Amino acid sequence: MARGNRLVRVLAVVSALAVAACGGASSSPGTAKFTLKVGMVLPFTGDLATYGPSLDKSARMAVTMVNDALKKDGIDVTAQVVGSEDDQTTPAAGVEAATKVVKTEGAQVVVGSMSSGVTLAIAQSVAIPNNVLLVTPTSSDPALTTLKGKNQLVWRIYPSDLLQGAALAQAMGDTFGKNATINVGARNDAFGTALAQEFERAWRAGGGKIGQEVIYNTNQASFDADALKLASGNPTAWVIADFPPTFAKMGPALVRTGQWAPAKTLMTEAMDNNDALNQIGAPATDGLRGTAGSAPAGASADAFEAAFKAANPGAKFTSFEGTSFDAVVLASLAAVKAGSADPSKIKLQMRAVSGPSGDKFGWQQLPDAFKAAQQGKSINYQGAWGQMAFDKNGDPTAATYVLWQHQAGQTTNLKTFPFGRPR
Amino acid sequence: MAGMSAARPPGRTPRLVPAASQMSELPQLVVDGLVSGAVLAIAAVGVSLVYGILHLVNFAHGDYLTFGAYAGLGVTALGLSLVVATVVAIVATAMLAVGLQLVLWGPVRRRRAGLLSSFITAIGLALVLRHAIFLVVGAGSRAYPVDQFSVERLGPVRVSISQLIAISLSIVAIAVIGLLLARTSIGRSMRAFADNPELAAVAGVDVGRIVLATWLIAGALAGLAGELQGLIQGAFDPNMGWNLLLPIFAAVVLGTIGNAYGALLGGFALGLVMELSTWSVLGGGIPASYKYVVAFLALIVMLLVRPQGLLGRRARAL
Repeated sequence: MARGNRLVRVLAVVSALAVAACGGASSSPGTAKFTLKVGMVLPFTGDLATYGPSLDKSARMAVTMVNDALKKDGIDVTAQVVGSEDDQTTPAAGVEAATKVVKTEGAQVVVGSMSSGVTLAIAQSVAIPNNVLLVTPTSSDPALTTLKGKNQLVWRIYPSDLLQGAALAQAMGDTFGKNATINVGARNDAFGTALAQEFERAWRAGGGKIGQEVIYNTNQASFDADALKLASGNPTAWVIADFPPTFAKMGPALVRTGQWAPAKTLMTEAMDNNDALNQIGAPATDGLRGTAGSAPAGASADAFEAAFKAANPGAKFTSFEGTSFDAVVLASLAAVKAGSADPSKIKLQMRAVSGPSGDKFGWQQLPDAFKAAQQGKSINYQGAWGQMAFDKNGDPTAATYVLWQHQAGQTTNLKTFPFGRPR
Repeated sequence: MAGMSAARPPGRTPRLVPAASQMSELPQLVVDGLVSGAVLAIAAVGVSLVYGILHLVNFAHGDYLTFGAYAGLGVTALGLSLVVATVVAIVATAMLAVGLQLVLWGPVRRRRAGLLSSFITAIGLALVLRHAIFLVVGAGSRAYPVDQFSVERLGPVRVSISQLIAISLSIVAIAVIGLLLARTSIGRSMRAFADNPELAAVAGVDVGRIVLATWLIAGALAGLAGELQGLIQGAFDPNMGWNLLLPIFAAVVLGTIGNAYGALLGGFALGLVMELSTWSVLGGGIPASYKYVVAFLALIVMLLVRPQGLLGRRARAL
């Protein structure tokens, strides 16, 4: 791949020189003028309504910062937000919202959505048929990796469950021992079933045992029978893949069985939300632990939170804002490097701007990053969310996780651990 | 802890005789099934009465439940007790049902709308109601100020406060409906009208009064069922009633369409089948996500064997 890149670079330089010598204007990276139209499809209502508005704000903040950087560099490219539509955390509404953003508002890049089920629907019914670049901030379903006919149009910032399931198994092994028997509960949707499956595979591979596996429907009238089954069998610990609104029903039902303890349970990133956990109530959440994909802890993360809060006074910081921010920045970098707002050209540059080859540029160094992109260089973008190093399927191969715990009404991070695989 | 759990035999051997631990699951599942069945039963009686007397398939009934749940929630938000909330939920939903009869169903009927157009109108009403509730209360989930975590131990069974409230109120409600239908003149007129409208009208039954009474009862029961469902579910959102609509209709069909007593029976039967389907004796336990599948399979099998429903009479050959 590196050799191929070098060849492309040489060709680009030669053709740029040729064009410069002739004095003619063309669409080579250096001189291209265009507007990149970005649209958001995010959950403003429904199960993930806690997060959608904040991700929308940070995507818009990214567009502003991208435009500031381009202006500073004197690059005649503008990024424009054409609209933000509500997918209601449901596939049907998501497809409707994405259709509006793409067909009516003319977006070339769509940032969305959060829930995997919604993103899969948007990708198949809207993004791929209309040849539009789709960058999902948080969808973690492995099905996105192997989506048929996606033709490099679908990318994600948050790592796949293939990575998260293994990270969860590692955290579980560190906490309860590698040979423990674990009961697994999961909501019956793309996210829940995929996470359960990947955790179980990694857990068994490490020598652990799986007791009960309970996949439960989210819209049912009563969770008691499901809870009874999930709590049974006296396992060492539990893994539960769920979102707060459903766990608000499942959690109390589990407590009522008298056989379950939140302190012996690991959950995933959607539950890493202090307000939601407090609303569900201490008996179901006190001592609860979980993994979460995370921005690398440290100065960069602190600076991003501060920047978000300064740009959006009064807005809630959910800690996922970096995902939609990086989605916008990576698509813009790829567009500038491609010298075009055409999604079929942008998609060919997504890997080249995501690292690990090329010079490193942090999210606070956008003017330098865009200058390098305009010169056609590869970029190792160090995002607000983290390092992507996309593989050929559009999945990040590197990610940082935290192990969080909710105790006495406060969610704190116990430790941060990196997790990665070869690209 | 690890390694202390009993070793599992390699490959689960199917057992014909339930183990002790499996038997101890049973009473809990039965009680949980009775609780969810009670709510289905109360809601199904309303649907069944409305169908039996007005020949209307009220697709909006689930959203009447949601309306009741939020009416009650509004009262508790004012700091008033759950008793007041229950009364308000019942009265407000009964008023809604009667109001909609006056402004919607009455006119629709006078224009002689057929079964199908009334059905489509009901679907439209369901959407309007649900989204009106969404507009007013928002999409987030809410809960009644009742402790969702503590349980009472009744022998081998653990029952939550919400479930206790639901069971006791259901018993009262079912007793009241039973008395109303069996002993009062309006109840007798309603049953007569459902059996044979022409004959009832000739016999001097006041049709307008029957229609209003039907909606009043159906609405009141929907309001109560909505609040009880909100209670036992813990957290609920404006989709609550809509999600419950299919099981309610199933209960109505199961217990013979149009028969109020049958609807009660159908509700309890459906609730029990759904919860018991996860019992581990049944082939190691059917996955919980197939609860509805099992319930509706049972419904289909039942209808193959007894097409007229649990309490229906066999259709007479002419």
